[in-house]
Amino acid sequence: MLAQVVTIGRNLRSVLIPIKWGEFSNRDHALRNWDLWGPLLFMLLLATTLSWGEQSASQVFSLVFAECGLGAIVLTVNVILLGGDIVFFQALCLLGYCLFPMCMAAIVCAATSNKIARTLSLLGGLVWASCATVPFVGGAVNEKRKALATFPVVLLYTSIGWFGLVKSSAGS
Amino acid sequence: MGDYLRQQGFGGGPPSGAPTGINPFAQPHVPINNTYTDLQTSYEPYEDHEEDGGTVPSIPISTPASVTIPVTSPQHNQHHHPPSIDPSAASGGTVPSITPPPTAASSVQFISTTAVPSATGKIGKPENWGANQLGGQPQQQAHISPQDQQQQQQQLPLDSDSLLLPAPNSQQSSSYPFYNIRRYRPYFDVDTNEVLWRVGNSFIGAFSANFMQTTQEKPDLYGPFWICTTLIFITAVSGNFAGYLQWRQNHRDGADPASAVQSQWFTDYTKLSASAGIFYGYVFVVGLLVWLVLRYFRSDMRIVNILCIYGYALSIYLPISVICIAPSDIARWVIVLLGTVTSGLFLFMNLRERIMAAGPGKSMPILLSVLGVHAVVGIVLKLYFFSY
Repeated sequence: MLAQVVTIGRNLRSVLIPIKWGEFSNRDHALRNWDLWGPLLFMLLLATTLSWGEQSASQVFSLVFAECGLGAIVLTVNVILLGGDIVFFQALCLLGYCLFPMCMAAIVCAATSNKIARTLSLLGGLVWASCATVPFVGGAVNEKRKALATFPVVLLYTSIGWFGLVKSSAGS
Repeated sequence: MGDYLRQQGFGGGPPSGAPTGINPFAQPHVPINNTYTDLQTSYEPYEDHEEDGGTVPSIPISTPASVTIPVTSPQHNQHHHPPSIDPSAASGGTVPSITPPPTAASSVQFISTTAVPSATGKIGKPENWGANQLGGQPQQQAHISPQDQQQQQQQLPLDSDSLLLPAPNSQQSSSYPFYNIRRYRPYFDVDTNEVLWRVGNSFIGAFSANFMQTTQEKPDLYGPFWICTTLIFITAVSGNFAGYLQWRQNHRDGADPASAVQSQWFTDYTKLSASAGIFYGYVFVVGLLVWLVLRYFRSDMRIVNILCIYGYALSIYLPISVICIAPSDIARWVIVLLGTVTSGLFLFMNLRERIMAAGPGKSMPILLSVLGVHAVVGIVLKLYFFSY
């Protein structure tokens, strides 16, 4: 159990903080021991946070959860179809881990209803998640198709960000 | 190496017709005979010939009157005339001297190039080259000079391709089983600029209907799928935003508790599933129906082409969704109808030739029904989505 937590933390660090030092020097091998616990944890956290205090909470929860899960699968398939050569589960794992910044932004959105704070935190989370994913996804395909592979990724994170932006405040 | 060439029969006589052997000289620096005794220039020996210590076309050792000048004949370019090798060079068998054609007496052109004179064919065992050669190549490569080896390695894949197991690449992707994603790669074989062109063409393409011709060989399903997905997202966002603006206006104007205006804005998530159904359904289901009708009339249209064109036809609703945030209802109607007419014309003009080729008698009803369905979808979009 503790080993799983350590693995999650290690993968998180290697994905989200792309600083090459020590054992995290090679991004390609960073997620070699991929695991799906981390992505599951973040998807649940995201869905719970975004549906907190909503009027139709279960609908929002299922929407967010399905969107994250299906979105990650569809994005990976998209990269493979465009000619990229990536390991399916490794890419899935990476996309799941990159939801972490959006989780943190969602927590901020749940905590406050100030539009400016929400927008800022969501933008920050979006930029961070995109900067973690885009090099991986864009590097897996041909140079001329880079935008085709990265546009859906940005779309996914933007839609999750929109869920956070229009979230109704808790306690209403 | 001169010995080897002579053994292969390259020594002796001027070439009648281009010899199929590979010119061993990478640069046309060639020694010539004493026709040009009055010209003497310096040159640079080869840097890349290592065997005999630079004997080709090295310093004229024992031919007193021969000079070495890089020479090419004015009439022939170097691709058609590899110089002949004269075995009668006086240097002890290791320096083949080249006799230029006798007509090139007027001028001497100095050329400096590293271009390899093109040659085809192989040196070695030509007859069964490539036949079960997976293990057999290394011993043959020992006889071949580096340049020949390079050229043969370039030619090898053409021969041995049929003998090696076909590795599924983009041309042979149908060798994957149906559950393997890579089998469907040819339908996503587009670059960014092509996708952008197709989207732009669907906006203005009613006037020059070249979409179908351009995408005939390489239709893609990337565009239809992601345009539909983006449309779902954008209609949800714009719809909710416009509704929010409306609510805020109502909430400010009449702070009347008895009015139907709710006290807080709640985002409407129910339309997402409906919009998914409408957009995906229009592209894929209606596209399938059109294809079935065309098949009934024995057209050879591929379903991918039809899905491609239907998908890109919907791309005009992307900016329309954003523009329809503006609160005026008349403007919304005008914009939506304009977009519907444009994309309808786009569909019409591009499908027209194919449908007419399919069944000349029945083409008009088919085309009209295509247009009619599109118009209905446009109106439904307006009433359901864009009337915030």
